[in-house]
Amino acid sequence: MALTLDGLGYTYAPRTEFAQCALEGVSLSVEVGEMVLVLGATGSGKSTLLRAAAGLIEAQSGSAMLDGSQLTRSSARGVVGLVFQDAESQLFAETVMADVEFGPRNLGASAAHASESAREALLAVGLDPDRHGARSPFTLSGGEARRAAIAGVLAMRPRYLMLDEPTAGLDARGRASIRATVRDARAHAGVVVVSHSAEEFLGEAERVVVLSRGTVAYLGSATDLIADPTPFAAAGLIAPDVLRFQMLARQHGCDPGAFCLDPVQAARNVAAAGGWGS
Amino acid sequence: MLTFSDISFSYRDSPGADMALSDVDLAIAPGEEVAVLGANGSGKSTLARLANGILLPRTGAVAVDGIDTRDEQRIRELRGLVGIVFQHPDDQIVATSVEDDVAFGPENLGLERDDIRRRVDDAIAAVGLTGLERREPHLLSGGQKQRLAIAGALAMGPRYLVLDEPTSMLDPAGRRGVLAIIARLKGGGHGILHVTHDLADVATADRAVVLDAGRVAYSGTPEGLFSQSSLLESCGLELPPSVRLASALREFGVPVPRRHVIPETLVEALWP
Amino acid sequence: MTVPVPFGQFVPGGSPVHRLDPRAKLGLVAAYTILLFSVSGWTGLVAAALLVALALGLSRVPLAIALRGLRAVALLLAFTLLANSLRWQPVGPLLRMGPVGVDAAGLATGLFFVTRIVLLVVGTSLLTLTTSPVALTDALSRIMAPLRAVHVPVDDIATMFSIALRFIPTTAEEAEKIVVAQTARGAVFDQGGPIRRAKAWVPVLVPLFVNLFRRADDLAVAMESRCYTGVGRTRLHAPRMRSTDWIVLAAGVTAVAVAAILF
Repeated sequence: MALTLDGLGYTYAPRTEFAQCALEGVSLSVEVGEMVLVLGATGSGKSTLLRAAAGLIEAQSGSAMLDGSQLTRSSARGVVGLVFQDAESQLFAETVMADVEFGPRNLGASAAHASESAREALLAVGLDPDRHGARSPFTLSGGEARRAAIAGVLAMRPRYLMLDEPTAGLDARGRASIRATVRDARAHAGVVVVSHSAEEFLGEAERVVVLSRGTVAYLGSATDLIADPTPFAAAGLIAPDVLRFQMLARQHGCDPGAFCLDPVQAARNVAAAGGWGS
Repeated sequence: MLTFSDISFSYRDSPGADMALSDVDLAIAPGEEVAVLGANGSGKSTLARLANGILLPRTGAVAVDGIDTRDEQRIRELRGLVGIVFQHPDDQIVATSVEDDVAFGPENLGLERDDIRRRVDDAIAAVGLTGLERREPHLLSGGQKQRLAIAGALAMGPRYLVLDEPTSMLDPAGRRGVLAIIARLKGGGHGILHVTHDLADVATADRAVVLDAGRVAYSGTPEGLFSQSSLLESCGLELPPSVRLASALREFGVPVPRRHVIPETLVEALWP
Repeated sequence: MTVPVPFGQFVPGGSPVHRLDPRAKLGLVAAYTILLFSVSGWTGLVAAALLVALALGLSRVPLAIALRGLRAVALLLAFTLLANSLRWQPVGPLLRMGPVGVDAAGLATGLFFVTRIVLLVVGTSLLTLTTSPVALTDALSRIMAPLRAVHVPVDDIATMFSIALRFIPTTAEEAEKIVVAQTARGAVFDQGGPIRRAKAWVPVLVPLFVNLFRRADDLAVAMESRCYTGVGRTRLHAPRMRSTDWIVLAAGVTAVAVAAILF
């Protein structure tokens, strides 16, 4: 049971004067229970990749498989959930509850069933259905609105969940809440998170895909990337501060051993390697 | 000086309503950068809008070089002294080309064409958008749009700049560009009020003020703030990894100078 | 993903026609339109066609692009031709299909009207092809300037148009994003009868409008912060009609007047 993209190529507006190649030979696979992190600068093709994975666009080359059969818009419907960037801009209904039920109702769920899915989804994102369900989505704060939009996708109970910059623009509490939701979602879904800042999810993902101008600059485990962060620079990205410090320390002859993401552990290792402190 | 004296403000008129700001005192001098931090809803954006009279305080006074924001006769003069840049780059851009948008402010002031031309060229150069004068705004990246917004404010010739979460909607590259410009402007003598929820933006500020539910919970140096972990947590702020790294290094006996938090400057200090 | 939106019909270029002041172009188009509707015979249309061909050649806009505008009126052209040439039980028809036939005189009239419409469309497209929307609205507001004397808020109207133009691509991108987001939640937009289809757009239009209102609020604050009051504005670009522009305008109007009188 996996969502597999293999050698995907996609060009916007092909055969016109505005043709733009967004993806070339990109592969990605995710299984239920794991998290894949997709990193890349703006314009690297990350959003296009997600849209292809959700069956919203059809790649011109390569293959897309969903649980063993062809991934198409209809086969992805209800199975692959996509949370867009600034997801709160999709809120439209009169009440939060009605908005979260929109997805399930579109998939043919009965009113009772949709309502139950909506309640579960709201609880999963930390919004109390009894307190917030009857409110207008336009009265929610930024963080609450983002969470309500995510609930709208979770309510469809997707087996694969794609999130495009889910924490962008939120404050610390908002980000922590979304991270917790994504962590919980892994239990019953394959999760793909797209981000331009690695710090947030690098420690939680099993695998990482680094995109650079539409092609794959790195495809491998998160542990390997942490141990050797050179692909970041190759893709025009800046590696997380803690990793960069350890890389520079090593370059200056103070080798902290295996790199780690935790600042305190990294500090301990560098201090020990440099012979400082007790 | 840009001064906030004993400010209180509420978005609703009724007496018992929630106060967005209470008893806030703050002053920014030219050449100084003050960072105002807080979680969403702490009142920091309200503070930004009080700076140039978009909002008026319920009690207390806001003054720019002595001009009170309540002074309707001099509000134009006041807005020429303090420029504001907001969070959403798109919602500040009015014209269909970069230079036309930068010219918007000076045009509103009724200046002569040569004067406008000079201000536009200087502002565009100050934010590094030279060469893009005729570009349409929707073709700019987020970082470029925000720099355009800053240029638009600079063209008014302000002495103070208020930036309301200028980088929160930008990607890392855009953020770096905007923060670099803010540092240059401060060096050039502007007084900067930088509102943000990201502690990583604070390291270069002269002073840090934390707002919590509309009240000042901390006012002092950025380094002093970094060591107050329980305060940060209760105010909904998070120490960035680089700051935690620097503090941990210090704890383990590594001689890290106070101010350095970016890996590159840490490394320079340790292995010169 | 920023696919550049080809706005309107404007094809940038440096030809003499592109560089002509938009006000002169507007004047020429007005004169040309009057000519088209005042000629009484084919010679007049030929004269107009020659004028358009001259302008088209000078503008260096590819013919295919210049004729693109005709697609929009294809239906109108077909209808005009049919309406004029079909007669009920005609005398001496060119073609007969039962009681209805194609009448020679009617066909000629139909072709005349069709040619006139074609020339009108091509002539006016030349204006939008060689003048950016911004320059056009600028020119229109400058022409309207005297209306300030009768308290028409000319500057506010000009600013409104300029802001509308500025936000068209941005809003289009946002609309597309919302459509895709709702599609990802299972919404369908292309099924069912007209009422069902109309209702399907609510989840797109509501957020779009709410966002637009929020944007408008924020934009108003940003404009006020830069001292916008609607009056007393000077302009960075205030192109004056140069002597070349006046000469071309005068020559064009004279040519048109002569043609109108002769034909």
